[in-house]
This record gives sequence, C-alpha cells and structure tokens, in this order.
Amino acid sequence: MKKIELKKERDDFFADESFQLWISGNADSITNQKWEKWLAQNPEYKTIHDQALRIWQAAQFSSHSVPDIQAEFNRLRQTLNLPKHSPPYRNIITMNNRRFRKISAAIVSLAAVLLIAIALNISIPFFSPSGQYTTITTVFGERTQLTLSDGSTVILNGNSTLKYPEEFSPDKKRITYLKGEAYFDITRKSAAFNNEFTVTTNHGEIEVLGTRFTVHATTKYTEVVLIRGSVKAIAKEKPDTQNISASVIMKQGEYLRFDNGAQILTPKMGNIALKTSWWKNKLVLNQTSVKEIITRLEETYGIKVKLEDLNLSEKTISGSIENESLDLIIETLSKILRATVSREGNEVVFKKSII
Amino acid sequence: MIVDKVTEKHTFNLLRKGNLQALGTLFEQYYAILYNYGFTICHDAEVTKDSIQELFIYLWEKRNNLSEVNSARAYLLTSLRRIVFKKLETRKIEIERNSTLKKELPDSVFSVQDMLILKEADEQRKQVLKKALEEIPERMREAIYLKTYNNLSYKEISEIMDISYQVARNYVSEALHRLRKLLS
Repeated sequence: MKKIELKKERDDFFADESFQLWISGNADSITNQKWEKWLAQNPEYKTIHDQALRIWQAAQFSSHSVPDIQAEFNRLRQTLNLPKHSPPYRNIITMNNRRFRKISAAIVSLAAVLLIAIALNISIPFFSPSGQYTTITTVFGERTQLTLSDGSTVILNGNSTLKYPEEFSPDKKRITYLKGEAYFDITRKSAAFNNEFTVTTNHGEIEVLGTRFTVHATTKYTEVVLIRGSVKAIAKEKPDTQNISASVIMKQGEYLRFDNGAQILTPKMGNIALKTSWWKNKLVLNQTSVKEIITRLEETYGIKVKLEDLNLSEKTISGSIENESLDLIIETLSKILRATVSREGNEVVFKKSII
Repeated sequence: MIVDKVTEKHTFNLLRKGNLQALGTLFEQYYAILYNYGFTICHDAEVTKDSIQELFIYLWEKRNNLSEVNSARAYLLTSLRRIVFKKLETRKIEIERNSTLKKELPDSVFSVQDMLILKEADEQRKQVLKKALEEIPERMREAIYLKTYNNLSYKEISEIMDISYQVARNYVSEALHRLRKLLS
C-alpha cells in the first residue's frame, strides 16, 4: 500500500487511481478504509475530497438508448450461421470451482480464504462449493427463466446472479447462491431428490421443502416472500461464517426481511402484491406506495428516479400495470399520477403537472 | 453491470476455445457498454450497430488466433473503436465524393451533449461546468469518458486510445485539473 505523503501536490490526488476508485465508489473495502482513515486524519483535505466528488459526478456521461440486444444477437447468429443452441445463448458461464477447493484445502479456516480473495482482488462470495457450478447473471432490466436439473423453475430478475450445480446430486443437498432477486418454484422432495433445496445469500440461507417463494438479496438485507409451501429462513452471524444467529419457519403468505446477526426473525403478513408479480405480465398493486414502486424500478432497471413533488411518494396505487418494458411502466405511472415525466439517460424525473 | 476481471478473462478464454455460449455471454454482457462508446464516437445508430456486428464476427471467425487478454473490456472497446473509425473514414471518402451529403458528417466526437451533468442543482454552476467541458479538447474528453464511465485504468485507456500510459494519465489529470479550477 502506498504511503500518502502530506506534501503531495493537490492535483496529484485527483489523478491517483486509488483515490479515483474510492471517489467513484468502486474501491474494495481495504482501499475505502485507507482513504477514509486518511480523510479523518487530515480534515484539511475535506474540500478537495468534496470537489473531487462533485467533479467526478459532473463528468458522467449520459447513456444512449441501446437497441434490442436479442435482435442484434439473432442478426449475428444468422450471419455466422450458428445453430440454435440448447440451452439458449444466455449469460451462462460454467466455472469449475476446483481452483477454489484447492485453496480451501490448503488453508484451514474460511477467514484465511477470504483474506486471500481480497488480496488477489477476486470477488468470490464466501460460497465456494466443489464441483461443476453454473453462474447466470442478468443485466439491469433483464429477466430470465431457468429450469434446474431437478425440474425446479427459477425466474431471475434484473441485475441478479444465481449460481447452481449443473447437475444436482441425488444424495447431496441442493445448494444454490443468489445475489439480487429471483422467484423459485421448487420440485418437492421426491424419491430422486431426497435432500433440501437451499438458497444461500450473503445474510443466510433459505431451506426449502417443495414450494414457491421469492428471495430478494440486496447488499443490506435478504427478503423472502413465501407464496406456497414451507421454508426455513436461517440468518447467519456474518457473510463469511457458518454460525447461525437465528432461524424461523415461515408460513404461506408471509414475508420476512433479515440481515447478518439478526437475533429475532418475525415473518409478517402483509402487502406482497408487487413483490410477487414482478415476473408476470402485469404488475399487481394493492395500495402499494409510489415509493415502493420507484425503489423497485431503480433496483431492477438501474435508473435513478426523482420526484419533484414529494407528496407523490406517499401516494398509493391499486390496480395493475402492464409489465412489458420500463418505458411502458413509466408512461403508465405518469398517467396514473397525473405527473409529467422527463427522462435523460438513466435519470427519470416526475413533475406534478399543473392541471 | 460490473463483471469481475476473473470472470471476464474466463469467458474470453472459453471464446478462444470455441465455446459458443461464451460468445453469447460476451455479446449480452458488453453490448450496452460497446454501444454507448461507439455511439459517442460516431453519433450514428446504424454505424454503431454494424460495427458491433463486425466486431463479434471477427471475434468468432478469428477465435483460434486471439491471444489471452488481461481486460476483455479494454480489448473489446479498443477493437470497436478501430472498427468505428474505419467506417467513418470510408464514409468520409464517400461523402467527399458526393459533396451534397457533406452536412451529414458529425462535427465532433464526444460532444458536450453526451455529457450529463448530474446532481448539480445550482444552475449557474451547471453552466460553468458545461462551458468547462466544452473547452476541453476531444481527446481529453474521450479519456475522461473512459475513466469515469467505464472505470478503466490508465493502462487500459492507453491501450484503447493507442497512447502512452503517461499521456493517458496526463489527459485525465489535466481534464480534472481544469474542471477543478473552474469550479472553485
């Protein structure tokens, strides 16, 4: 790690790549800590820091509306004369995790593995299973449906990642890893698949016994909505340990939000209309707050929504909205809210129209 | 979407080995990034789409001859840039032959219209920033774009723009310095 000299020219900070990573929010935790510590110890540099932040944000570029990627890929397929492939061309990367297994075999504790991972700047989650795993990642606004080898169906929402074994072993637990949001329709325990199906997130696990549910794993929390069947939600002390802090068995219709170290888990009954319709043709709203709708749009499509009239965020909507595309959703919302909407790249602004 | 370098490298290697799914993965993961970069260079949707097609045709047909890369993203952006400029050159020649179409050529690469000034509520400051960005030379703007929008390192920027590491660093440093000066 570079030693930070106090006598550095002011501009040198700006051009320093480690500083830029920190300012742009892309640094790993060690870099973040180093710079935060530096700022705390040198408060006179706060103005430079603020300036840098403002400039960095100012120098952002707008993104242009991208054409239909699937259509463009079909065009490529035709030109190259590629066969129609099964499974279809999606974000499928088969990662052989034997490399990770070697590391964990050589070193005893998980903590050591994590340390090596950070030092090498490889972002592997604590989840390092052995065997052949498939990873599927969606981009913002993309939804994809998968069928797992046990017949289970998963629908993955935008900006999400699911890791699962190519072939489930009948004599082993069916373990998967999720970052983001997905809907699961899991085959019941059968003669062939005798063991639990588990969805692992950074905060814990959801153990499943033949059921339908959704899991939404953000950086801060994991939320489970149980639609049908039965699951056991298990909260872990920390992302990188196996120590359990609390667990609970959920009932149909309940939803639960938890994070690392949660001491008590209390599933609630409540308004899950939007949470359980994002993969369907119509978004179902049941006195759903505009705030919830907007948060969901931001997370799924990677946009930033601004409400010029703050009263708008407290309004609730009931009914259904066509879920075909972001543009359609925004248009429908603007009509329902009687607000004009403007869009510049990834920023959407709703203004209350003066009638 | 940020794809970590290990996965990037892995996917690219699968492509070199002839894995069709890897081609699809790269296409889907990088399309938006490539489109945005290409469009900002030529401001033409058709040219950009065609260039990306050409890029992936090249990647697939020459997959056996591709060498390993450290950054698939930088490699793809560099290649796209080359293809787009080549297309613009061809077009320029065509247009010059047909002088009635001369007006269609875009004047500048990375025009300030492409720059969205976010989170600057103060209208006056916004105008100052806009003016500052206008006064920065194109090459510098391109470097800043690659740095802030794509989070590329100086090394990667130097590869894409075909300049030395030091020049890449100077471009970004100079651009940031000018912006800073005008803001304070």
